[in-house]
Parts: sequence; C-alpha cells; structure tokens
Amino acid sequence: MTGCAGFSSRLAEYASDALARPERSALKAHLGSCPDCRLEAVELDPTILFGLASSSEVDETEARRILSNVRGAIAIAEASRRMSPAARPARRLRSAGGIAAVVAAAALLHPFHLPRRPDAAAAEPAAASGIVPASATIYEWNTGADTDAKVVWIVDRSLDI
Amino acid sequence: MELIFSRKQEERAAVELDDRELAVRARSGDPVAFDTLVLRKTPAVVSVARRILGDAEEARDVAQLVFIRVWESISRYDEKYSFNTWLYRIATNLSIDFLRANRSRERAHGATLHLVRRREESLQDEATRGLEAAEIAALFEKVSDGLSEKQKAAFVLKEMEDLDSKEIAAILGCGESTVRNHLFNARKALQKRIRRDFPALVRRRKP
Repeated sequence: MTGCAGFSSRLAEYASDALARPERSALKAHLGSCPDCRLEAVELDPTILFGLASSSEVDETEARRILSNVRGAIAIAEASRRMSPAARPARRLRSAGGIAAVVAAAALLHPFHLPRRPDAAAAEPAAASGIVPASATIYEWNTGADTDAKVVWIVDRSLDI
Repeated sequence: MELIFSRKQEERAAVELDDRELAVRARSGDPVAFDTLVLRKTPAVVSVARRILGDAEEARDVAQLVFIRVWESISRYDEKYSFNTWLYRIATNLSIDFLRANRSRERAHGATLHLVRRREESLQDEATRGLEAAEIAALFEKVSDGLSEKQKAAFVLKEMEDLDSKEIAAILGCGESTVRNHLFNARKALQKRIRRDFPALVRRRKP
C-alpha cells in the first residue's frame, strides 16, 4: 500500500464520521481507485462500501423525459385550477399563458376538435390586454343558448412546447 | 423561430447560474430557470429516491412528483436557505411516504433477492476489485430492510449523497443529535446484517 498510509490511517475516523466533508470526499475517491485500501475499509466497516457506489442512474435523455412529464402535469394542473369556477378573475388573467400552452398542445394533437368560429369581437379585449401574443389565434366558443361567450380559446402555435 | 431561438439563449445563460439563483428566478415565474433546475437536479433526486425505495421505476415516478411539488411550493422557497436542503427534504419525505406504503419494498426485494444471492459467494473477491454500482445497490436493498424509514433516509443522505449531519437534520426536520443516533443505529444494524448474511464480504485476511 505504498502511498496509501495517509488514507489508511484515516479509515477509523471515516467510519466514525469524524472527518470533514473534503477529507471524506478525498478518502472516498481514493477508496474507489485503490483495491487494497478498499478491502481494509470494508473489513473495518462494511457499510463503507455503500458510500462508494456512485452511479449515474439518469442520463440527459431520461432527465428530459422526466422534465417533459413534469411540464405536462403542471400545464394540466394550471389549466384545470384556473378554469375552475373557484378561480379568481385575477388569477385567470395570469393563467392565460398556461391555458394557451394546453390549448396549443390540444390543437396539435386534436386539430379537428377546435372550435371553428373565430370571433373578432370576443378577441379584441384579450388581444388589447397585452397578455396574448400577436401571433396567437383567438377562438370564442358559445354553447348557443346565451349571447355571452362561455370560453375563449387562445391558440399560439409558435410556443416552444 | 425567434421565440425558440430566444429560449435557447436563455437556456444557455441559465446553466451558468447556481441553484439558488435559479430557484429565485423560478419563484418569479421564469420557466427556463425551473426547467434548468429540473434537468440539473433530476439525477440527485432519482438517486436518493432509488436508494430509499429500492426500485428504479418508482424512483423516477417519485422524482416527477418531487418536481411538481417544487413547482407548487416554489413561492415559499426562502433563498436564505440552501435550495439543495429544501429539495432533498421534499424528495426524502415523498420517498418515505412511498416506502411506508410498503409496495416498493416488497417489489424491490422480490426483484433483487436473486441477484444478491447469486453474488454472495464472490463478494470478497469483488470487494477487492470493486463491485458494480448496481450490485452494491442490490446489496444495500437486501440488508437495509430492517432499518426504520428515518434511519434509512439518514444513511442514504450521509453515505451516498455526502451531506453533513446539519443538512440532514434540516431535511428530516429533527436535531443533529437525532441524526447522529439514526446514523449510528443504521450503521450498526447494517454491519450486523452484513456480517450475518454475507460473512465472505468481511472475512479477515490472514496477517
């Protein structure tokens, strides 16, 4: 174990949790590369072995998949919360972006389900509010019984989602 | 095209920021900062969840729940405190909730028992060469099933995530002395189990 004496003498301190983090990290790095010291350490305290297993279990592709799922769940949660009757008007205004994202996703997935009645009158207030991008298309959907719009759909196909 | 180009520029700038700065930006509604945090922290969150739960697939599910919880709670994040501690607290609590449900424990042991048994006889030789990370993880799953949830979480955070006792205390919501007790008891229980079930691993070499 030439050159290992410094590390070897610190194994007891490592096992008793008496080393500061930089020293622990240095010792762990050494144990990861030195079979003799690793064996000595495992004989002293076999639980040391568990601290040496550093594996990258998630690559970038997997991390992006998880992010995509998180983003999808957030968009649905935002949309459902803000479209619920309990949502306050002020929150509804702030939620336009989230709803737009969901509706844009729906438009890409189910283009034939979108309302086909663009309504310039209903679109004006939303466009004038400044919260809707100029590139967005605004649809108004009315159930038919009343004259007031029930739902305004904002579709922005330029969103990077 | 301009919007997408602009977002990529923002992403490049965001990766230069530290966790705390990203969290503050995410708190103010910056989606690029939030996404950057998720991408950066996913390996650590999956790692903690994987080791507490003993199941890779459930760990990925928990990781998603963790980041949804982060998004829901980011308005309450206080930048005076470490973002890592805050994140680990969420990850650990959700993992412990899953563990308490007992589903993952049973599934994980069923899946890994064979692997552990198969490796048992050659552990001494492997210890000198270096066990594969997956094999060490399987061994840990096997010998840690007698630990309490808090003992297991404290051990994982200390030995596998390299956090200190103060950070672990903040994550688990207890005092440092309690953490030290958890660690001491966890280590003793694991040593006892390894020496009983895997004696080849700790066999003394002849002088």
